[in-house]
Amino acid sequence: MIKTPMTWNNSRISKTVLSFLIAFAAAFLFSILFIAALGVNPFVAYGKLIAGAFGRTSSIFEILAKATPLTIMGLGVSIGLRGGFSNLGGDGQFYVGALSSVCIGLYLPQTIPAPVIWLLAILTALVSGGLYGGLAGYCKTRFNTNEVIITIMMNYVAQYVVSWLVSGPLQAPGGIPQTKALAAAYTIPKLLSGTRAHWGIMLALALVFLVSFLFKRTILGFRIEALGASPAAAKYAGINSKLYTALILALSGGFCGLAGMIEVYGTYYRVLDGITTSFGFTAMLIALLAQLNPFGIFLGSIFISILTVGANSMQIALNIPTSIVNVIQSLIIIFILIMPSVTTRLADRHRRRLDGRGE
Amino acid sequence: MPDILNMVNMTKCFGTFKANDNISIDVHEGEILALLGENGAGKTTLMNLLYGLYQPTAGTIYLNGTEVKIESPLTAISMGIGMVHQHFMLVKAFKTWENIVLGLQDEQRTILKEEMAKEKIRALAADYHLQLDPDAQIDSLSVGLQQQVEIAKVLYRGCRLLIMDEPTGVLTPMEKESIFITLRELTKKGLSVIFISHKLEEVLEISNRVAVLCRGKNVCTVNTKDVTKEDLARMMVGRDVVLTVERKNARIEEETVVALNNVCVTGNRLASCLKNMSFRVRKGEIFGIAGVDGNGQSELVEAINGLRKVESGSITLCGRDITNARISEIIQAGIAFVPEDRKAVGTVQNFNIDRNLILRNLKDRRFTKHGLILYSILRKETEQTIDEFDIRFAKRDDPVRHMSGGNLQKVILAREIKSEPKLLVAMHPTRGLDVGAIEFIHKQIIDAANRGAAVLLVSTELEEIISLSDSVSVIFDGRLSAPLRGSSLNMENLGLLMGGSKIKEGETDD
Amino acid sequence: MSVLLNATFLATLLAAGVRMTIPILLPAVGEIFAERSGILNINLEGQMLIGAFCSFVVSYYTHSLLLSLLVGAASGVLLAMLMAVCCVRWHCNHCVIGITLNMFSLGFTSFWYRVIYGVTTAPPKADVSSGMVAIPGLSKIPFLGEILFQQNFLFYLSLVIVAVSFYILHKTQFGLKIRATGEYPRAAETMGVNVSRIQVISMAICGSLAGMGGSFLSLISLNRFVDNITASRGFIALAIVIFGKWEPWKVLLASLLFGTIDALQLRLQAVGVDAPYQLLSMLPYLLTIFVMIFTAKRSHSPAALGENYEREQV
Repeated sequence: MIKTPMTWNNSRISKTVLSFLIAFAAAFLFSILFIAALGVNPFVAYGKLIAGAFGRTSSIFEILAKATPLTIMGLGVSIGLRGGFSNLGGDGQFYVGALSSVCIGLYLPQTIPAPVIWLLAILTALVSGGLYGGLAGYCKTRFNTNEVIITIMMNYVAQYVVSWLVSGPLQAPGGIPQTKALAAAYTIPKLLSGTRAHWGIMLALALVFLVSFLFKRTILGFRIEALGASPAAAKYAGINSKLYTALILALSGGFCGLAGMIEVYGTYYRVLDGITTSFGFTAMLIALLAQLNPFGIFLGSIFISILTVGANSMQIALNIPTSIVNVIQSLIIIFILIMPSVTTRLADRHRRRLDGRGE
Repeated sequence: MPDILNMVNMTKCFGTFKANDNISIDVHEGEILALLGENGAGKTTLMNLLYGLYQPTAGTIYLNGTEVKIESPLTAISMGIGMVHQHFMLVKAFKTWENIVLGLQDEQRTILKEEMAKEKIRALAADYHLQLDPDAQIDSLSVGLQQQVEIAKVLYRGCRLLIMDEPTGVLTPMEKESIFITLRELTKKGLSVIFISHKLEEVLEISNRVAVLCRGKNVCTVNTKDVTKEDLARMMVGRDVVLTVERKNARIEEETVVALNNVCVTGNRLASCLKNMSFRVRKGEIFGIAGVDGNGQSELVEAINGLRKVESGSITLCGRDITNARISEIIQAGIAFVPEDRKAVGTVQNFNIDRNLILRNLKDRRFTKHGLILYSILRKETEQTIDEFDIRFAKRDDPVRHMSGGNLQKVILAREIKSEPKLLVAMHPTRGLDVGAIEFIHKQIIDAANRGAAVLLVSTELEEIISLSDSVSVIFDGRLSAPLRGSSLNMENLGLLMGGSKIKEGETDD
Repeated sequence: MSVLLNATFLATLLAAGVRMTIPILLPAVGEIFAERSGILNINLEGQMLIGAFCSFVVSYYTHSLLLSLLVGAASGVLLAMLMAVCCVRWHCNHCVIGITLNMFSLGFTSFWYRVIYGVTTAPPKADVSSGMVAIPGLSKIPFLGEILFQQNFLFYLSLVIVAVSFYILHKTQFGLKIRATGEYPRAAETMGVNVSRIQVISMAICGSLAGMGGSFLSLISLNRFVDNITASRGFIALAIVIFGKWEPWKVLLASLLFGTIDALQLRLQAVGVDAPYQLLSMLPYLLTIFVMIFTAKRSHSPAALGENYEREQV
């Protein structure tokens, strides 16, 4: 059986902060090398990035807009990770949630007031994403399949099914592969007109508090963490691992589906073919970056969004490809992942040298 | 007799912990030197230094008078040192010949020559009177036969100095005699043996000399014929040891708490399947189950606690059928379980003490309400528990991963005992603990019984079983002997039953 | 439907199927080595991607198929070494670091591709020989000749690699060491096996094969490089290793099956079968899910797969 064990070291705060600083520094150093290799002055480049991110009001709100679905997905992925599962199907669950929730807004009688529609849409996204994620969980308990591979495959299946539906049965008149747009009344209002950020961010923040509460105070959270930390002990404690496996992946999937709903109702107002997101993988990196802490996930999403928005400006101004963001964020995580071991080895070697001097 | 081995001033530190502190031992050619010590005395560490698995912090090793540096097991093997570990280093999925041939530097170095290897193995088996089938898959072999493969491994490589690490832990008394005979044969052929053990009787039986280790230091090295069991015990522990702790004034009531009736359970091996097992434990009684590991103890304990399926038969708790009930139901019904593995099963290492204390009672009304855990109330309770059980730790909220074995076991015991169980199942409760912790845990178990719990104690430590239990059954081959009590409860009878023999008629009560 | 049962169609289909086996078979065989030594190499996808990119760049400047392939393999090895060091030396969780390195590869290749070639409407092509080889005599056999004996030389190389892998794993001391490391590293260590070294070498083998498989995609199959050209074939290869029970010959059969399905869905799209193209495109991924469901339970994976082995333990 292929296991995906996740154990989280509760290291001391100072050690963690130091690891983070080193990780960020190292990652940025590498990125500076990349930029310099292009013949661009790295400081000018980062100047453009910061200017692009914070220069205009619209870009700040753009950051908030981008951070909203990332936060929700990051929370979802973190629930999976706490339970010991790597849910890489965030994208697929996103699509499922997006499409099912947009149908609510498009095909129910348009006289239903917006808040009701939103509530129904949220529930639909949660349930559909949850079922899709839970399906992977069920496969794991029943057939012992590796959830990493299955969820990635399910991404493609969802993506293609949505693509087909949106080019066929659900296509809006006009020939473009996309659904009809939601009625204006059903769209989530913007925080500031003219900008992209919307009130969905409140939902994201509410979920941050909810998830934090879940793991700090509830029995459900306790059981999820026990299962992730020590499956054998969890079994001994009477926790039904089959049930919880499916439940954890369902919760995780539900959150990711909800992220899809928020993007549709807040930003795009419809489902288009070809929104190939790599939200799912980014969300996992954010969860890792934040060490699964819900507030950290929000901050991490903001950070990644800053990088993304800023990198866009960098590309327009200096022709630096935006994929540098992927490089930076993955490098940060790599360093964070290896820091504990590297520092332990250095400490050991240091101690060995001290011992050798005849203590 | 010349010295084949001299280890001089060996020191090994792991961080700040000194596992070996300036130890010097020597082995004469053709002798069996016993390395005696409790768990944690440093015996295995010392041998790992000799075998190249660890590098010494300080000290020198001389083989046949020449100084050597043993960088890795490969070096050790090439120098004629062979080691048979406590937990067999055999790849279960491989065949016997593949395990023996792994890592060889001779003609099997690149392309494997299967037939040649098998022939050599057969010749070896004949020469040293070993039972070997080169084609057998390891996981189909009994423990005793697996050990033969381990020995064959080292002999194949021309071993002259054999290290046996607690070889009898998993053997029946019959297999034990057999391995002793093999070891004597080997010494007749000029090999030398280092025999690691914590069992006084065996050391006296098999060795020529004994080196006693205590807390990382070599206390002394003596000729076996010059010492008694008590001398050795004293040197091993560092103080005069009272070999038994007694339970006084046991009050056992007639009421049956737990009863097994013709229970059949599939085990990991044929020998450990439970075959029509029946017994009962009464209120206030401590019922001990002795036996060599691998005869069904784990399966029995798991079956009672809902961790393993019962194929047929029934288990009842105070009359209520709990056969194959869900684990959460069994916990609710009042069965407490101190498992064998305290790190991977008994606790969640990443959780702190508070969380580990409610691990098994998440339905406890005192600490939970509407799906929430009332941590403030829990904390007060934890403080009390820490006091009561004298649990030591570095930082109050640290994950229990940082605690010592003894304190970890106290956490588990506290949790299980404080739930006021009807039945307490304790499996190897004091394995790997120091004397102080052992005494404390024994006392807690006795107290629990005195308060009316039925206790099922499973252990391989015969002294522990004899002193704590009111009656003892021996498990062998998935079957339970009739209970021994009073005068029939002695080492000899236990030894016989553990080896599968019957004891003399009229020797059991009941 | 009659179109499908036409012999010519079948022949071209199976020939294409055999060809599309290559980018799945090579990484899968490499992954056998990695997993049998205990490393769950989720980074397989990234190693393929980097192989695809580096070989493409080299082909653009040298026009040499062989050199490009070598560079592709070498780049796969480099990334595999990074993965190996993280897992073996720094004890990272294999899945997590694998996923992260995949994202790194994606970013890295996208970045440098855009830097070197910019964004154009006419993307550069890999100008190398196609590597097609017709085996004299046998290639004239009707039907079978086209399928099996007029293939890309990489296919024949893959067959040789499968045979050699089988031999190494089951008939040599090196293979024995690899298998022991993946089953019970502590036992291997006591027998003098250098567990770290075995795992690193296995990863090197895996990286080279993954890089070669990726190179095939950019040099021959699509003849150019696009972002994420591997399209999760690395993950399909992971599933195939489970399906093929970590045995080279079984993995070969499984890869042929997948390659054929892959070719089938493309052909059906081209032929204009009355089904939306998306549903056809999704066939390989659906098949992977089904395959996993039906084989995972009965599989006996290397016992120590995914575990981080530490040599000195208190």
